[in-house]
Amino acid sequence: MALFIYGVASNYGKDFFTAQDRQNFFLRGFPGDVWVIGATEKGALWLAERGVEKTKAEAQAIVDGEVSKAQAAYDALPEDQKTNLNRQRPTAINLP
Amino acid sequence: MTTYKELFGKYVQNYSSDPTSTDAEGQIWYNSTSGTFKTALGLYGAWTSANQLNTARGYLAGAGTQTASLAFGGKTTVAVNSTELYNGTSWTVGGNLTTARYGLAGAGTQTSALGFGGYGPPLYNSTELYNGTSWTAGGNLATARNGLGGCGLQTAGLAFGGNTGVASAATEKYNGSTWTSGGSLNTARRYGLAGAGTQTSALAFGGYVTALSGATEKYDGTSWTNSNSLNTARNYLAGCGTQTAALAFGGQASPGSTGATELFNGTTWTSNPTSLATARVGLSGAGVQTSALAFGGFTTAVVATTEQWTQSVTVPVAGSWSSGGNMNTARYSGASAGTQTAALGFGGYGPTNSNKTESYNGSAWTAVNVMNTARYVLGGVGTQTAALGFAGYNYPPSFFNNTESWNGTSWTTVNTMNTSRSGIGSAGIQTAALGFGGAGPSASAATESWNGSVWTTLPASMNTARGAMGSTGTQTAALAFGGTPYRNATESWNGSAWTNVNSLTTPRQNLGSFGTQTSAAAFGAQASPSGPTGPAATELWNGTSWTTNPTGLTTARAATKGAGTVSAGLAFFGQPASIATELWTGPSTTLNYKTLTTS
Repeated sequence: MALFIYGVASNYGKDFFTAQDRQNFFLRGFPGDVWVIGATEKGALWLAERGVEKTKAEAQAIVDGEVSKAQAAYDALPEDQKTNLNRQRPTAINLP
Repeated sequence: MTTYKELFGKYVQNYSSDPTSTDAEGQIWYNSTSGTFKTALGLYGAWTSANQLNTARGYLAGAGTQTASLAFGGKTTVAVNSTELYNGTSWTVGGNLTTARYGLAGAGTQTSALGFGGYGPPLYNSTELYNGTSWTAGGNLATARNGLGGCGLQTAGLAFGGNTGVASAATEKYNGSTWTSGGSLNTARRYGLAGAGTQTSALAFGGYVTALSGATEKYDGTSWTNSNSLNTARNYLAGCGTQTAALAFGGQASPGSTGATELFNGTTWTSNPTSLATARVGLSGAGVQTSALAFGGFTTAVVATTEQWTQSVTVPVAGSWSSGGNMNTARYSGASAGTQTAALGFGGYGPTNSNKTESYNGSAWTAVNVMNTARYVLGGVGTQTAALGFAGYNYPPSFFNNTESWNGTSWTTVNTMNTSRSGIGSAGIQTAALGFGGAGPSASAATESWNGSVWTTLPASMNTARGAMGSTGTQTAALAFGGTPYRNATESWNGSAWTNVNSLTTPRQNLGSFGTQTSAAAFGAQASPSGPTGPAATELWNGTSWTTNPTGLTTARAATKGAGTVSAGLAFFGQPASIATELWTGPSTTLNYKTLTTS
């Protein structure tokens, strides 16, 4: 059985996820409003009420797109800004 | 030497076991059993979502508390001067900084804050003071820098470390108008270290030296002393709290952003089990260790995400299984009745159709008088001294409607059910039982009610015909879940009709169960035709939905049975024919105890 389900949901702030949610299932946010959720009934219900389920490949593609945009933005940064924040060029993010 | 009594006017309480009331939080006592001084900490916390900043940004500064926070400065694609105030619910826009900048530090409260350093470009040494409405200029830092740490108050601020082009160790103290030199960090660092505490009792942690750093130092108003490092080295993290109770969260770790949250107790950092939901770098924070706020930051772009940290004095403890002794005869698909400490197991198969009955006292099984009719996959309800066994199956193929009543000593054959079947669901007690579903040989949805002397077929059938399901509850409030073929469907019975409710996470048949209609457990079972021993996973029903317990049966098995409640249950029988018994202790909470070091 899959450990996670994947989806896209826009964080609307308060009560988007609660302390109880955090205790009930794994939850982690990624670029592009992608969320990885523990594959439990409560996790699935949380996503169903807040967003749209995606396959892992679809979710990964969204994240990859965001990383690509971030890399392009980084490449366009003036050198002083890269230096002053010690910012590294964004690297690939692999969804669990 | 000064005694505790002399300091506080009372003696330390002496207990043989740790107190369990939440009133124990922050108290000190002597545990005479372990011979140690102990306390209870509120150390378990979780981040929850909160309303977002109006302006998404990273590398901003913060001040204040969880319910009265201030966010200012930062970077969108350029340095910004915007200020926002949080009231515990939402962010509103406040007066702008005079100088737009990012990588600055903050200190103070929402209505009396201090912002200093940062980068525009160029590197700034300027200081601004906020009065709840607008910013005015203060005295300049001696050393212009960004990515520095800060803490304290508007009239007693502290600046340390940061980037001047190289890593800085410089510490400066602010008195409300002027910065003066305050010594040097032991480890010069830059690119976003965090701070907590006051001008005379501060904590510096994280940052970047020649690599990501977890270095932690304590300041006493004059000099810095090394302390234990963060578990996760990182820079551009956020921090809040005091020198003896600090919180570190987020930042850039290796290889990317982290949401890791750590708590400092004055000596060491402890990782919290859960992290920020959104890992990010260049966020800011406010509050104290028990009640904090994280806002802004950068993932692959700047974010407005706000998360709120709350600690609880209690730590949730998942349910668990432990060994409970062995039955005398290995078998599977028997029936059960009773509780964890007073159970009855009867019938089953192993090595042949069985009529054996065993009684459990909480630690050992004893063989008692046998049933009149040997059979397995039968139904069972009641207690150790007043049980009912009904229906079932025998090999060569024969489906039963026989019913027997147990009085604590022997079985008596009583009136039969209307429909012969095996794998029947059961609920209730010896004098008021319910039998439902099963197979005879086709899957059945029929429901029958027992009044202590006769069975009556009820007009309402289950929505889904099935056998070998889990079942709990009473004659008028029952629950049926799972069953053939590999179902996860759950139905609830109100005394007159079955209603579909939320399903099990793991479809299964021949599962074990105990509990009530509103608080049930499902465990073991076959989850696929591939083998008799399916998942050991245990799921818990709260009256609305099922949650999977982190741990399952120690011995995965099918055709198991249970007795007791979700607080204290029992699992026995199993396929392959098993004698193993496991004791279930339900989910609970505990205080987070800590043993104090004495010298």
